Amino acid sequence: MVEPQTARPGAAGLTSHGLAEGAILLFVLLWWSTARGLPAFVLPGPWDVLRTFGTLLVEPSLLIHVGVSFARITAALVLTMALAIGLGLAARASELFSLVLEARILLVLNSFPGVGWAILGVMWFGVSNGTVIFIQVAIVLPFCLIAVLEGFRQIDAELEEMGRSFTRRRWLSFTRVTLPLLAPFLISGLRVATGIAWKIALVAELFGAQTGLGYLLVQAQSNANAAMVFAICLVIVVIVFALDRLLLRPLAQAYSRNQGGTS
Amino acid sequence: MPVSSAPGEAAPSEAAPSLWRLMRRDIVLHGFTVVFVAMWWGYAQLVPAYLLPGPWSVLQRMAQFLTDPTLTVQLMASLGHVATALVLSFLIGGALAVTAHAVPVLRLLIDARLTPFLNAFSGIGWLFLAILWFGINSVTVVFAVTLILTPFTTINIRTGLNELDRDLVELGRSLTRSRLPPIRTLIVPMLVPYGFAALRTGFGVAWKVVLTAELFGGNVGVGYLLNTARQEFDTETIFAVIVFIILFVALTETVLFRPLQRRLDRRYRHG
Repeated sequence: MVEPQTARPGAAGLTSHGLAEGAILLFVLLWWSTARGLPAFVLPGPWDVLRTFGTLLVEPSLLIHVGVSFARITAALVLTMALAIGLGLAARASELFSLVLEARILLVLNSFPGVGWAILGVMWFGVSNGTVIFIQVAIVLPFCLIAVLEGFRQIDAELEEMGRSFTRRRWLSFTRVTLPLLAPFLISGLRVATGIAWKIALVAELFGAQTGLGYLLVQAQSNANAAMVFAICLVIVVIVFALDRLLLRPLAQAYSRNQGGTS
Repeated sequence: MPVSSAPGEAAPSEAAPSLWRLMRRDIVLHGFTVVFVAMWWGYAQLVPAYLLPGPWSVLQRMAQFLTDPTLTVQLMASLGHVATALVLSFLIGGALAVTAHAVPVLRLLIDARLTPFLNAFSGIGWLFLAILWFGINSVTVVFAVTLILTPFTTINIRTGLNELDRDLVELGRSLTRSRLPPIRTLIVPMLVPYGFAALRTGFGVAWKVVLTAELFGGNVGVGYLLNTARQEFDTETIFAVIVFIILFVALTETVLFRPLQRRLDRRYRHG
């Protein structure tokens, strides 16, 4: 991933900042002027969208949908990580299972269309929170599993051996040695999974759910409420951005520092 | 052949373990497949067919699809959507990445504003916007998939350009009289692995989202087929389509992409 380079102070940095911010301003201006000539159900103006975005965050009856989606995705992510670690550990314990996991289970999970899970989930379990979470777990699991398996491959076997030589208690050596060694991979897996969950796995809420951002999207679309569609997109962008900048990236940095062997 | 004691297996005779070791991979993998299908069959006996059709009836439906051109036509339509979106996203992503590489003042705009924004934008969001703008047709599908793919291609090509070995480019320049770095013999081969990585990720992601896009916003394609089957509670068709998609994606991955990746790794690995 390309991390944004910190702009150097000085004329060049100033110019590129000016260009970057200026382009955004220009874009909003263009948007505003185009929207004036078009009906609101085709392209709402920036101000309309911002106002809808505001009500989405203030109005309790709307905010509840944001909260519900957030809770479902968080639950799905926690479940997925636990499942991925469990499967990874099982693959590490048994060579045969690792074969089956990589050449069969992962291959199929990775090729399984997300909509397929959504249709099957709703057919099997009806419409409920559990179904939505099931669909999200099924969509996100291959991404987490790939990260966890890669992590287990990279772990230094000698360090683990050392951990075992310090204590007989397996749990202790797992939590104190294996898990910290695995942490950078878990976090990078979680980062990818969070993005996928918010950007793609929301499809789970489009199939008949009565709450959540996906439900709001369907409603907005059938009422031709374009401002609401834009505002929901904006909410998702803000959430994904905030989660990455405020939680996942600092975590990733903290753990990669921990790993730096030279000290 | 010396029988080294493999962990966790008891050897009943001299010949058996070596055969077991030779074939173990295949036995385990195909055994797993057989057990899985048997479990599917067993469970399908217990629940009604509209919830879970048995493997046999799904297979029959798949055979029907192979003789009937419907699925082939829809599959081609989906493939067309995926290919168009991939090409477009490569053009857009490539243009963005090259611009960011060549024009330093625009780097902040592209790397720190545009790409993260595109990367954080919801795929479902693009889809619904496209439905509002273009209605239910292939333009909507291609538009949504292209915009979902663009951040992936931009980031991959950008990484490739960043990793371009400056010393090697310098050396290439010193070996020829021409002022420009030798694009065909040096730059392109160095970018090939990153372009391939972008293609591979893009293809996988495209298949994951194209069905969603077709289901909600398309009037042709496998996703559209899934939608009609869903409305008619035609579970056999749903299963047949899903199995076809899994086979298709898994086969492209194992038969096409992995061997290609291995060849590329052998050819372009440096350092």
